[in-house]
Amino acid sequence: MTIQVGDPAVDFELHDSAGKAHRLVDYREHWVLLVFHRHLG
Amino acid sequence: MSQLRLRESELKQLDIQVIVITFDVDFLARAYVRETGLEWPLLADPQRTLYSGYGFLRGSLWDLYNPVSIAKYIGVILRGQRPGRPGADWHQLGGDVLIDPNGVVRLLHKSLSPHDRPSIESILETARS
Repeated sequence: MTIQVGDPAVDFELHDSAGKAHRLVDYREHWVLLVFHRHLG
Repeated sequence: MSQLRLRESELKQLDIQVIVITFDVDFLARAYVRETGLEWPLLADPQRTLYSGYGFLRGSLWDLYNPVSIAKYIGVILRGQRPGRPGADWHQLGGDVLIDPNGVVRLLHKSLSPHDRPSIESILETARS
């Protein structure tokens, strides 16, 4: 199913370069802008 | 990305947390953070699970190398930057997702070409409305 505006965001648990896990729920109560890179130049 | 960094104070005012996602491997991500001084979280999605979750596209050769894109690549090179890393997956396109404090998607932009990004104004306006 394709996500549309108005749908719940896709949950995630991803790691940063220091190895720390980040989950979407960690940012609840804030606006979140996910910027998806094409690739790091 | 540079447009976002120029408007960082406005993003903060609206309580917008920027999170950058990459599918590149960990050592490249570390180097990128070191070279750019990026302060926003840079998260690795090597399996591209989240890219797939939002349905981000894979560009055709024309999407990647049309005259507009080539002109932008030349601009990048003239500014002394690299347009991309040899061996990278050039076909995977990115995008932007703005999520409200209740976890609902309020803006979803799937890039149609390498330089196709939503305007910063549209992001700020969505968060203000």
